Amino acid sequence: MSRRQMLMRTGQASIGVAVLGALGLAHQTGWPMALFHSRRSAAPGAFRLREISHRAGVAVTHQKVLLDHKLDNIMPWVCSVGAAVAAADYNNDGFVDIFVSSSGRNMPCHLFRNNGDGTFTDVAHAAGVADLNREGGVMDAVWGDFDNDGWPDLYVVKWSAPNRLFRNNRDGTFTDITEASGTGDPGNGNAAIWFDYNEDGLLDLYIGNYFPPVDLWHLKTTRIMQDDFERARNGGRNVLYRNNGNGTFTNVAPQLGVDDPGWTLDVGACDLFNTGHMDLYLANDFGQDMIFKNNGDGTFTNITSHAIPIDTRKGMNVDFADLDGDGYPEIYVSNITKPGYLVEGNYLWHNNGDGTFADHAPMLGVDDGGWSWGAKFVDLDNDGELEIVVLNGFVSAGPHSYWFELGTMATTPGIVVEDARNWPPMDNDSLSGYERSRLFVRRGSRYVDIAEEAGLADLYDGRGLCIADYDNDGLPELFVANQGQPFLLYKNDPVQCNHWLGLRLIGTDQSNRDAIGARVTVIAGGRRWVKWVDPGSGFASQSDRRLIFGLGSLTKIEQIEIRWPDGRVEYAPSLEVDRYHTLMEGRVTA
Amino acid sequence: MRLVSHEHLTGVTGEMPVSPGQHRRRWRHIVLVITLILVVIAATAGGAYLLLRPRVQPLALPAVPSNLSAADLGLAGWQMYQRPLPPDPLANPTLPATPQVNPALAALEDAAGQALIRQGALDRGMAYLRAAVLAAPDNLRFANDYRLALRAHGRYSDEEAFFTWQVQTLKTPDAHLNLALAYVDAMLSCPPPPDGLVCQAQLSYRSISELNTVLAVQPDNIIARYARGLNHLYWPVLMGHLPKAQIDLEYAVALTRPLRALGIGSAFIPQAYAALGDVFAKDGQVQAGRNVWLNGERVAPNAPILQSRLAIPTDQLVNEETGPLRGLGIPVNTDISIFWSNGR
Repeated sequence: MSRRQMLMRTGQASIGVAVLGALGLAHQTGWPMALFHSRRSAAPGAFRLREISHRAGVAVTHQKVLLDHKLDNIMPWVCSVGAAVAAADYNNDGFVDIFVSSSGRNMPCHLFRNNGDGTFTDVAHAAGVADLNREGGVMDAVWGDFDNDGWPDLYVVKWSAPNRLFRNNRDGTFTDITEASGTGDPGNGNAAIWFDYNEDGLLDLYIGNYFPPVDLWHLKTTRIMQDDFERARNGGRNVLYRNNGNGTFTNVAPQLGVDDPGWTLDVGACDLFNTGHMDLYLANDFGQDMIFKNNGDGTFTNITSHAIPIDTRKGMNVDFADLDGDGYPEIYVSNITKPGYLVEGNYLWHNNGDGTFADHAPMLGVDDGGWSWGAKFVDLDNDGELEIVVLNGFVSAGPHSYWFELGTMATTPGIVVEDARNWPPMDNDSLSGYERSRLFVRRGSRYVDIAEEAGLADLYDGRGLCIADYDNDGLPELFVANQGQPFLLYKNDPVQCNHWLGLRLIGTDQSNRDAIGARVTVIAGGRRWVKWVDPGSGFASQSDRRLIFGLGSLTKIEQIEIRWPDGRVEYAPSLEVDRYHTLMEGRVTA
Repeated sequence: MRLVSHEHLTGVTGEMPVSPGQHRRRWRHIVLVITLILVVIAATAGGAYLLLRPRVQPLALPAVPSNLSAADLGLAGWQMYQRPLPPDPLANPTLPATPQVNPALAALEDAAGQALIRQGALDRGMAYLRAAVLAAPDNLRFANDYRLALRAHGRYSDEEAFFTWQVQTLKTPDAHLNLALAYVDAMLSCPPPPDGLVCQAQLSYRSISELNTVLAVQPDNIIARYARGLNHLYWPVLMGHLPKAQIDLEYAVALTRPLRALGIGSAFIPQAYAALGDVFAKDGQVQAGRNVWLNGERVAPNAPILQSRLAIPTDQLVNEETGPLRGLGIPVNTDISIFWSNGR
């Protein structure tokens, strides 16, 4: 063997040994997979959210309720809801306006009129919807054109005082017609939606009540809390106000069997079974969520036990979206996740299309939302894939956590938890406080949370989340109502601006004018998207009812199908992208 | 032949030919070098093995009283429990047509009850099992058989009712022990995790309360120690039960020495070490957990429960409630026959 050959063979052997060593090292450390995953992780900066509440003129701070002093030991707990937000173009100027609650005694609510230049003006006092906290406390609000006059009316949900219905006077002001309409349920509600359950073309009202019907400011007993942490059924009964068509409403919940006594924190409605009728989903705290199937004849059937498994979680929010384009909506439900104490996980109920649902949240990586509240599906960058935004955080206070005391009480048999006096004092404790919201973005077969890098970085106790395109650029913004903390507006400014199609639907004939419940199917580039006009689902919030379809790079739409609430199906002509279109029932087809 | 070959080789390489003496010396050198290399490799491998082999640190276990008796361990009747049940009980002419509370018939009725259940005569079988327990209320085996039969058929409320009644009427440590185990069985009736955590925790709380009563009068009761330790082990970590689990399970491991000394049974021994190691693993103390399992392997070589744990990669031994070791949703087997049975 020549020296040269020897050197060559030695070199080859060295290379071989080095390669083998590297492969072994790679196997041990897994660095090639890490490299692979890093390439697939969320692209930093793809989503950009900038908080602009001061610049936009919506920088207000929510004020909490302060209830009867008999509840002082757990006051931070019981006064931890009420921050709500709802969107509608109440003055029909083409720009979405925002109602923002406050809940403290005599604290004004806000109606932010959109000035059309990126700023808002609080006109609540002039409009007559500011002074809502003289008695009770505001918890939620939802817009809906109950009289089909083309002007959004406002329903406000309160604790321990009659809810309020404000008719839009079409001149920027509102008239309180609560008494005349018979919609002043005095319960302790936290949720309301407008939807036409009996398909008579008139919007009806469904209200989710939380506490039993007691005056929380003047308690005769402290036995007002849930009687179980997992199976509580002693909450306030829910209400369904049927719209009689003459300006009055009648509560038909008991006779229809939808007066659920769970501790309802949110209600939502959507066509869950692709029947053309709107079904109810109740997100109940301390126990079983409920699904009521709309039979299409003005009645409901409780199909909960058939549709979903036993649920002992703390439901707080419900939102709907069709993630796979099959025409059957999936459901996202907020629950509680606190590692080391209570890892419930949020639900993402995949609609099996056969009347049943399966929780895909863990598989998709969208289960850990912290102590979750308002949560919405939204396509922030119009790429055609829906993101999920989750607000969270319960009580952000001192450094000591209440979790241990809460856990000890909840797991100790024999403690009557219904009696607030038996709860350990919260003092200045935090309870899942200072949590960062989640922005779940789809990457391959799973979602990743990119909230912080996207700019959704506040640590406030988020409650109501409203998605609304206030500047009509086709990019939806996030309006965030924080509990006892500043209201935030996150301007959406993604790196990649994709094409989109915006639709505002107007129902006629036997459809409600807001077209709530209408289903729109868009086909473009061989792909299919399905969306519904939403009744106000989502904890303490109602989003912009206009539909935005993100199209990615597509500029041509192959088909637009609209199934109106009254069942009529129309096909729109190929509409121009990157702008909003108003479609009126009966006049859509070219 | 070698020369021809060599010539052939040299023809290929083009080097100068060498003499036979030089050739032999060269081969000697080669053999010597190879031998040296092999020796170095063997020495290195041996050294590496000595350095890297699992080191088993002895456990710092609590002292237990010397000369503990089987009764002290809560296993006074262990020899009776080990006896085989009467064969072919349903063909036994002494089996009464209806269950009778008769100590002399208890073993036969216990066997008959199990046989009837296997045949599908559930209620009748349960009645015989119940009669056996009533006839010999201090017999842990009969109580265990009855409870496991109820558990197997989801009759958790029957379990709780019967053993609650026993506690009220007998007030013995064994009655409290059986009720404690019934509460653990009832956890199977809770919604599966992550739902039903409060349901499970409240039952665990009740179980621990019963075991506290047992251990107050029989501090060396090995079943109660182990059961209480396991109860604590399953709680969410931040609820602070792991240190309590460690205390009880270390004591239970310590009690395996008198258990072995008395020759009572060996099936429990690897279970004790597995559980104690799980305490550390659940707490994120991976090496400490592995050390416990390795100690267990020394006492109970080739025990599957220990081998399966030692086979888990250390990076998967994390302090998650959802983990494979004692995570939420991992059912607990309350079959206490492991305390008097042999095997693994």
